[in-house]
Amino acid sequence: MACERSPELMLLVDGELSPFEARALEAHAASCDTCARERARLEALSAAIATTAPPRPAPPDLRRRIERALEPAPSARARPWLSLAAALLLGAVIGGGATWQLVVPGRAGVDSAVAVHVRALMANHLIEIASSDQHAVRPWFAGKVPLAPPAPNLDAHGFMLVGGRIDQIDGKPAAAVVYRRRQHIVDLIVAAMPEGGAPRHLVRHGYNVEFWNADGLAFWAVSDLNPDELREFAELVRAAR
Amino acid sequence: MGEENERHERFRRQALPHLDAAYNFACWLLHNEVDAEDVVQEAFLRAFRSFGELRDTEPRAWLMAIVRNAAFDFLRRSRRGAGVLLREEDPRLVSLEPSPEDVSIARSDERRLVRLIASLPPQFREVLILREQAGLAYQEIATIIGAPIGTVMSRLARGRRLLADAWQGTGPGKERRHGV
Repeated sequence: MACERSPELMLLVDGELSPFEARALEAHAASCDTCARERARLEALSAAIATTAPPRPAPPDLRRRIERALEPAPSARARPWLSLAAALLLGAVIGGGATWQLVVPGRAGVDSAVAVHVRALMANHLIEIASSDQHAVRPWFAGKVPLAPPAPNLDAHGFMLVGGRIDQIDGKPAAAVVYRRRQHIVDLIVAAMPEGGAPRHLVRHGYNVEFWNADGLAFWAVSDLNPDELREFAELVRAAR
Repeated sequence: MGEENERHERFRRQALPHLDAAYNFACWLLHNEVDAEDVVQEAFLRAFRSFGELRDTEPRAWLMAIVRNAAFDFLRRSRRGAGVLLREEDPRLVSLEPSPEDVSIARSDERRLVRLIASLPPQFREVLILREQAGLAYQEIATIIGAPIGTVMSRLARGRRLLADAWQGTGPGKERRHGV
């Protein structure tokens, strides 16, 4: 005995019907022998496959091989030479007779911040997202670093937003927001770090650095811009918060 | 480079959970667990290289399609043709009756059902595996095999009928050419 509705039973068993359609078809199958048999046949086959031919899980070794093949290249992962660069800079500072700065809060991060900036310039890796729109740059960081760096629009003050990148400072994730004034790059590096102390200005290897804290974040503005203009930049960013 | 790390992390989070399903699918396409491992590994690396294009989409169907392509590439290279797609009128469609040696080797229901699934023509076998073992929706299966959803439904119905008939020992004879 054929029933024109029996092909639909497959959709019911596979969960492809809406609740409304499913209820209507179930009601029909309750009073149609052909459809009741078709439903039982499909369910028996599914149950047999589930119990006697279960899917084979991937061997642990395959999982390990794929995970290993997916490891980022060492240079992208650990950046061992970053700490080396920082150590060299530190050595230069100490060699220059500036050992008193060891006790100044924010000092350690400054060396690293300059190293981060120089490396980004040398590796031609200053910008990962190029945008002059603060509403594009700020959300771009969401989910990539555990902090939301400010990226205010400072066009009116002559600091053009260029873009941003993800970086690391002393092994911790950092966000870098990049501005430009004339031919000078201003790298605003932001990390969640317990750096203490008042805002300060420092010079490292010819770069000017403005350091400050706010809301549990440490900020380093690094640039070859002159100290006065960089201080103006830092004040604008602080005021924009 | 931060972007690169983020891509790795996202791939790990979104793609690796489907490794079991991918491996099982490859086993059924290739009839060989060692080949399946190679093909899945290659497919996952292939997938990773083009992962950037696929920001927010659930990657399961896309990933399974890559596994399927990699499996077919492998079969073409090795010229074994074990999973070569048959036309629906291929005479091998009716060769589902377990041979006497099948029956003697595989006494238990368990072995018999596995063997019967393995001897299904590939275009029916793949939709059956994707539905019954991977639990995918018709739409996902359609994406994976690159066919309309109606084709998925007719192949699934036909494959199930062939399998059920063979399993219950009625043989596929009455079925041939008149699938649902």
